[in-house]
Amino acid sequence: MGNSSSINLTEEDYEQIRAETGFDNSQIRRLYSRFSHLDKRSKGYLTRQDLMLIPDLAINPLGTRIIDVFFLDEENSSRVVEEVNFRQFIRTLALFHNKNKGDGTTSCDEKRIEFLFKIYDKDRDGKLSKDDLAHVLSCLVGHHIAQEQVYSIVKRTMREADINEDQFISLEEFKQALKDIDIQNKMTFNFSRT
Amino acid sequence: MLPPPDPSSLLNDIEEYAFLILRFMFSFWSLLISYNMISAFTNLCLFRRIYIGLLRRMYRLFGFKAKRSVVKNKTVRFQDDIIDNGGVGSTLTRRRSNKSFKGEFQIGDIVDYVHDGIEVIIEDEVTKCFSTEDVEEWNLMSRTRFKENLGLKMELLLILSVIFRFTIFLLIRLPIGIASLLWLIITMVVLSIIRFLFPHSRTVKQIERYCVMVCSRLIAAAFSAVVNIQHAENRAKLGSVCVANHTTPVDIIMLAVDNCFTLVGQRHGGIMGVVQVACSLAQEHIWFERKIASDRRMVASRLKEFLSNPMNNPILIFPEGTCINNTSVFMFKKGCFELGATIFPVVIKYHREFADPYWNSQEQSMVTYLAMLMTSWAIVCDIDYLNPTTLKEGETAIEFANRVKADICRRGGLVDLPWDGMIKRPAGTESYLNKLIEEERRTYLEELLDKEDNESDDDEGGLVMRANRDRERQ
Repeated sequence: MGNSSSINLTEEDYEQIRAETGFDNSQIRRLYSRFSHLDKRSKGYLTRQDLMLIPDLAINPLGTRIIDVFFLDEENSSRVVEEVNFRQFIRTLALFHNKNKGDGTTSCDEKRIEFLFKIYDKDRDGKLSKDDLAHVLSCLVGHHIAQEQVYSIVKRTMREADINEDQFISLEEFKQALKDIDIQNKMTFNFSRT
Repeated sequence: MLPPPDPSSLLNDIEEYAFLILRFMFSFWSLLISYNMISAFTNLCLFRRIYIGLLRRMYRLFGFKAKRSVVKNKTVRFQDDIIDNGGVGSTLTRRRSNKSFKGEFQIGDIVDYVHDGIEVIIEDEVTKCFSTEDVEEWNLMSRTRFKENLGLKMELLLILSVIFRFTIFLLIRLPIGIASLLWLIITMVVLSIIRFLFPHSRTVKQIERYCVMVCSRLIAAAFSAVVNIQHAENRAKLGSVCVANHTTPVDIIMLAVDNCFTLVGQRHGGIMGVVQVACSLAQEHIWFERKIASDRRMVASRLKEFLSNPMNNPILIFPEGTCINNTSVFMFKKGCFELGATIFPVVIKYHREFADPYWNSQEQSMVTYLAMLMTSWAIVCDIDYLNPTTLKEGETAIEFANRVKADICRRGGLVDLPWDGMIKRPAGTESYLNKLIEEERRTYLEELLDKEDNESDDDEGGLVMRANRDRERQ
């Protein structure tokens, strides 16, 4: 049948993914079946379009930004890739694994914060400019607010977060701005079937 | 010394045996079809019920207990204001609405959106409804994906089950299927002649209803279908509208076993088209092309005209407009709730352990789908008639539709989803999705404006007014 995965994971694959991501076998199997389900034409990889077909993601104001971050090159995050295979897919999701303590919880939360940072960082230059913030805000509010007003709101947000006043928010300043948010709680998911 | 074997006599023998087998098959098939005729006329399906009983026993024997699908009484609630603007809405809005904001646009505002986005990448309710649901117990069919590795014993059982299912398919179901199709066409032709001769006779009308039911019972027999009717006293009456949740085109046959309907639906080609044309010979049905707007308008006026005669058959409508995998119910289109007729809601629940009835029209053709059903164990479904209901005073058609839908979900243990079923076909849904994303944005904007109000910055006053104006325009 169309959706049943024709290529199955070998025992070796499981072992490698387990070591890499900390998922257990049933979680890997579940994510693999999710991946095959999203991969409509059994290409072996996902494209942006495949993810946009999830209706709940398509109506998320930040849906396209989230997808963009999924399609960043892992080695060099200033480059974009067109295809994501299962290994890359599961590595990205492993960031949000609640069992994933990695080397101490803090470093994992830091990676999650980096993910959020990349959501803002549209031009992928490693720092957030006014334009980056304005883009996310206009994603959130749509055309209900004029562009210059978006900028005037962003200016104030910038003033608060930009500690050294260089007109950019660095990753360090970004972490500072998020220090009151329980990332551990908000950015982890239960990957086992409930 | 023996004479050398004469090749012509050997051929004669083979021919004789073949002829014998053929004769046997013919008498078997005529017996089979006559039995099914009798069972269709009387609506007793003794053998089928015994067969289902045996299947259940087999599941128990091999440790795959035929558990009834667990009733999940989960409902995704609409927000009140979303009901007003057309029943669209999403779970996102609901979840985020009671969030406390501390000031203006904060860097951390995106966390909730990103959370929701990743959550639906991992798993989402909606696309799941458009694919076969995984069975919890393996039912000895290879097409139901079962994750664990099977032992040698199970592999053997699987092979036996395949041989068995394909034998009954070729020897029993296919002949019944062909015979029932022929019977349907003959009945319809004869009925159309009778109707032409006595156009207004009540007796003819009753005979007609009965004959059509016999036809659908025969077709149902081709799938070894067993239909359990509950609350038969609420069966749809003449001159009313019957609405049901939709899983497969076979729904119609299952419902028509017990009642005779006027059908409203998309015009099809192929084998479905033949059946539609045949049915239209003797009875009035409304077929239309979904994509053509003038057709849709025609449907509304035809329905009104049809309901004006209280002696007409009940109209059967699937207000979802698309097949869902029998776990959830999508948005009910309001059309048939605006007609002012009495609505008879129906829940159709399939027992998935015998066959998966969901038709994925995006992936399977009708013929493939029917072949898949006929080579499954059986179709067992529960049909539950709910109390008839009418539009209450002060209720809009949309509220009415949502109320009926909620009743169906509650009774059937189905998940109540607010989505429009048209997202099953991704093409042409942009405007619908854009409308929903605008709703998300408005929610965020309102929260942003609340903060602006509290701070009441002078230079931002224009912003509030502008946004309010936007809201009014919507």
